[in-house]
Amino acid sequence: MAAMKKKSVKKKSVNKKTASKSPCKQKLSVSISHDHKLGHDPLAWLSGEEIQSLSKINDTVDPMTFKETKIENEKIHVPGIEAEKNIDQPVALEEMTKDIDDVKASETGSLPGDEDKTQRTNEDDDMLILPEIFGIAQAEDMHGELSSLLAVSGDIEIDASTIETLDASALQLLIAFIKECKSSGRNVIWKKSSAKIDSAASLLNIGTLLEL
Amino acid sequence: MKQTRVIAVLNQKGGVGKTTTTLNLVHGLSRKGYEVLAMDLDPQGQLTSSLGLMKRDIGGLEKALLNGTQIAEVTYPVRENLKLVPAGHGLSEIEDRSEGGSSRGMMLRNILVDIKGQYDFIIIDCPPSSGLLVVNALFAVDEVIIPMTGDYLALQGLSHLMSTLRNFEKVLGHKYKEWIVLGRFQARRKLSQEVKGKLKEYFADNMLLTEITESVLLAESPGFGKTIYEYRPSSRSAKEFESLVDDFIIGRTH
Repeated sequence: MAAMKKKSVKKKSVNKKTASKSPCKQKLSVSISHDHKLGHDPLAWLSGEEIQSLSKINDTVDPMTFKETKIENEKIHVPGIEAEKNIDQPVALEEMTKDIDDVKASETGSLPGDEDKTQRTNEDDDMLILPEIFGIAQAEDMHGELSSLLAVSGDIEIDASTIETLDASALQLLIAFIKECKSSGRNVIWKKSSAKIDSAASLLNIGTLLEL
Repeated sequence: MKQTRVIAVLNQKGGVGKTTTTLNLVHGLSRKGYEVLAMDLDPQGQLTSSLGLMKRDIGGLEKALLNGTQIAEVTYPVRENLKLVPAGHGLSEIEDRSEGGSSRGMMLRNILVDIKGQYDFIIIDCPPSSGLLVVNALFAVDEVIIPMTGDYLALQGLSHLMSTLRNFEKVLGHKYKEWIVLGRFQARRKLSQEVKGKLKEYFADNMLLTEITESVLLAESPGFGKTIYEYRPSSRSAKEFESLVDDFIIGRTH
């Protein structure tokens, strides 16, 4: 997995002086800071704050394109009590799939403004938390996650504290991952190990390969 | 006569863990000795099947709501101290009901009048919608548990739900006791931590202390008609739900 170069995301701000003089030439740009992952606060109205409080976020958003999101009173037909209001039946949301694959897919989805959808930032993803059940059924998903981790720079920490079961496929995957990390000059640190991994490593005499 | 707490587990956004929360909460409470009645108000019947009632041809809540059947006739013991009113065929017909006037929203409230006092907790698993079934639930309950996930869209959905609840409170003339449960939590994600921080900022007194970590075990157990305590009793998920049950009983929040 070739390490991908991080492309710097330059923050562009709207020059207020320029905007007032020549709006046509105003550069409109939206840049998303990676310091905060939660942009707009949809709950701001609860404390009576203006929703368009741009000072709370690092983004620079052109107010002309920022949609008013103030929550309007939902028209709910309360039978017999507010009969004059129209029935407003919001479309029922379809039940989202609960499959873990969708959760993992959402993890690798892009954030607004991301230029590299496969890139994972160092501060977020230098920790690998192994699942409770780690076997051949989980290997494909884990392979994807490990591949993403290989794309970032820096040492990788592994938390194996929640492992309850694992099999040879999981161990093979881990060994391959650790080997790949070492070949690219990165260290793998077992931040939290588990008795399951320790005993498996001892039984198979692979403690050295796992860097335990 | 017991002082019954009547609670709706509610969020119009799908996939946030309503049924998972309801499933493991009702069983967790019954394991502690409380008499619990679970009601499946979701036409999809997922709480029903998660508790092991896989047959869909049994009579359920719709018979009590639409046909005047006594609620006791459609109440089934599913665990020690835990009974279930399942979602039977035809529950979805209620959403389309247009006749009935003011009584349409009060059907559930009316049938609960007869059974309050028999249980310590009546917990209603609501569908992910804003239709007549949810209206019935909101008229019937005093408390609302809102399962939440750690992402922006869930936060946006919560904002919408809060607005809805405020409207109902104005109409009903009383406030709901609201509980927020943060589930499907992925501690490693910065977004999840930020959403958690935002929830604590606005709902510190309402947000139950224990968050439920995302776990495939919670997704697997319903397939076997089991709760997490039965499926993986020593798992982190089981321990987290045990802690959440305690949080809920004593009102332990952030």
